[in-house]
Amino acid sequence: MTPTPLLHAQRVTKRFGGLTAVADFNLTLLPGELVGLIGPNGAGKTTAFNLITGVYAPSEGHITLAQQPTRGLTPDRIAARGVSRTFQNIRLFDAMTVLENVKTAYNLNTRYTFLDAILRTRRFRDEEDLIHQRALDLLRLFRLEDDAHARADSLAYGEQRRLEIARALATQPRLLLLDEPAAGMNAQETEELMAMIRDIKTRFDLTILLIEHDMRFVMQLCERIIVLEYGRIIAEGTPQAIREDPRVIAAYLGDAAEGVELPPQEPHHAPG
Amino acid sequence: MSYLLEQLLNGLSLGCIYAFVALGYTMVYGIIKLINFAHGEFFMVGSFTGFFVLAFAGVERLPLPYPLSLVVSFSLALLASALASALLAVITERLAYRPLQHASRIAVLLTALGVSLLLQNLGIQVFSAEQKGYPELRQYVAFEDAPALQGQTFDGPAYVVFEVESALGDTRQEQAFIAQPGTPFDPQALQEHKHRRLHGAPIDGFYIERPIDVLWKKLLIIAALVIAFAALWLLVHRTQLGRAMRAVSYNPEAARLMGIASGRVISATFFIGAFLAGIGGLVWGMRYGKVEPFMGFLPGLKAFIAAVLGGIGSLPGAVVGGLILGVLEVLIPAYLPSEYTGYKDGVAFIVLILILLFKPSGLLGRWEGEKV
Repeated sequence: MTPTPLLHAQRVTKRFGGLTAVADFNLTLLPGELVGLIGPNGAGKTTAFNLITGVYAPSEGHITLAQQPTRGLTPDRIAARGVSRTFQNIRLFDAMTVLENVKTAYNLNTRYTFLDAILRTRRFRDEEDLIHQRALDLLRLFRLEDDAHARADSLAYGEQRRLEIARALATQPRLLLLDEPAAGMNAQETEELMAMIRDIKTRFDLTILLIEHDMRFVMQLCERIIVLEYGRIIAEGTPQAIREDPRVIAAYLGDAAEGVELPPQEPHHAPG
Repeated sequence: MSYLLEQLLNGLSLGCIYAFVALGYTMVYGIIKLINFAHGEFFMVGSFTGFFVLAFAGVERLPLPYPLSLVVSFSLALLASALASALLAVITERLAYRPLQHASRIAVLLTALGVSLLLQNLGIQVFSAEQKGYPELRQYVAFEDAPALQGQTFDGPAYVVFEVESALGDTRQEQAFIAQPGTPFDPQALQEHKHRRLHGAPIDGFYIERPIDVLWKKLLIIAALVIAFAALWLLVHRTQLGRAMRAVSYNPEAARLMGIASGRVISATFFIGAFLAGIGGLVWGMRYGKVEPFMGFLPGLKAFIAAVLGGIGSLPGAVVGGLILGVLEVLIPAYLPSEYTGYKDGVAFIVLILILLFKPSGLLGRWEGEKV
């Protein structure tokens, strides 16, 4: 018996006016999978993320999360059902501290009311203490605890990326979507990030879908890879199979370069 | 008190009221980038609510011993004005602004102007356009039948308070009216009251009922702002709601994707901002003694200028801007020849022009370029 999929997207299409950003997108994620989503710029990868997280509603098709349809749910409701993400162009709460950025994402699990806060009831203090403790634990995991009280936008680029992952985990997701987590990182940071992703996957029992241009990163980390081009899935399979797929090679290098090994690292793409 | 000190206190208390209103402007702007021109009308509704509460549950009407009656009466008025204003704001946001959340900012701005006019005219329908005198909070001031009062008249109704023993053996205070305001002080008559021992009970003392001193009102307004701002600061910086409010203001989309229900956070922001404006409306009525449906227009506009002066979006900025504006508006006319005092309202607008020319981000604001 196959396990029930955590995420299931069936024939999802998204059009913006005359432009089809994603066409006929099918995706099944089983619990505990680590899947890579790759493709040239403008292939519709981030649009797929936006469809899963409810930022966009699909023009056609439907998406289910643990067998519940997500149509009509706002992004915060979908987040409450266990989907969290990071962003290609970092979107931290800039003027807030590193610690506050993480605390903010615990919003879903806060039960104390306005009145509790004003009266500083036991419930308020207990919950605030718990949030504080958990947020610090997460920062420690991402080696950001020394910067807990620094402004988020004062962190180095790689640290900001790590903070985004920490913040995403604070919502206590089942499904984590990472949009170019290694962008702008040097080789050593990328190495560390890979270890970190493996670690949090088992530690928090996560299913992970990630977009990345760094091919070495994707090939080493992911169990399964999906390739998008012009909004359509052109290939899907293990890293080995993808590496040898002629359509993928053509999409990345053009038809002339047939048989050429994929480059170990894509040139850096500016965020945005 | 020296003239300067008195004028400074006037300016500070006026500035505190501007700050109460400016905080709401700046909070709403911070979170949805809307200059909510209906905010002055929330202030007006708060003021009217306080008017009705003080008229129907004033100190002299509450069956409570003084000074408990004063505390209860004021607290009731405070809570009612703040809540009425806050609820109106939440309803306004829900009905008028939320449907436009994806519309252009100009569309929402024009809607805010429309809501402002609508509420002013509704105010005329409900309360009538006539200016009403604000009910005074009463205090009871003890006086001795001292010779120092010889030759003076009572400036408020005078009472004698005495203790009555009930059939059950416990005592309670009662009061009996002894003189109209304007009656000359008569030590002889008071002496007689003392001797008569009203109903055989011992006299506790003589009291005059008077409006609360203006000095006390000014100090009360300043204290109220200090308390309110401290509470607001803690709320915004030490609670999850506050963090959510800041998160939505910095990046609404990321906040939503982190599970923050931005609609509820925006409602809460309107609620809190207008709660403070409602308090501002009450203390404005108590301080300046009048209410009418258009009363929100000018203070609202000036509070907006205060928010811009301090740096719109900044909470301490709203307070600093309010205080500076209040002090300037009182001090400048106070030291000008009397024929210029009519230009008092112009001060705020000169300040606005100067700040827009020389520091458009405001005193405490940080200019953040438009995000793409």
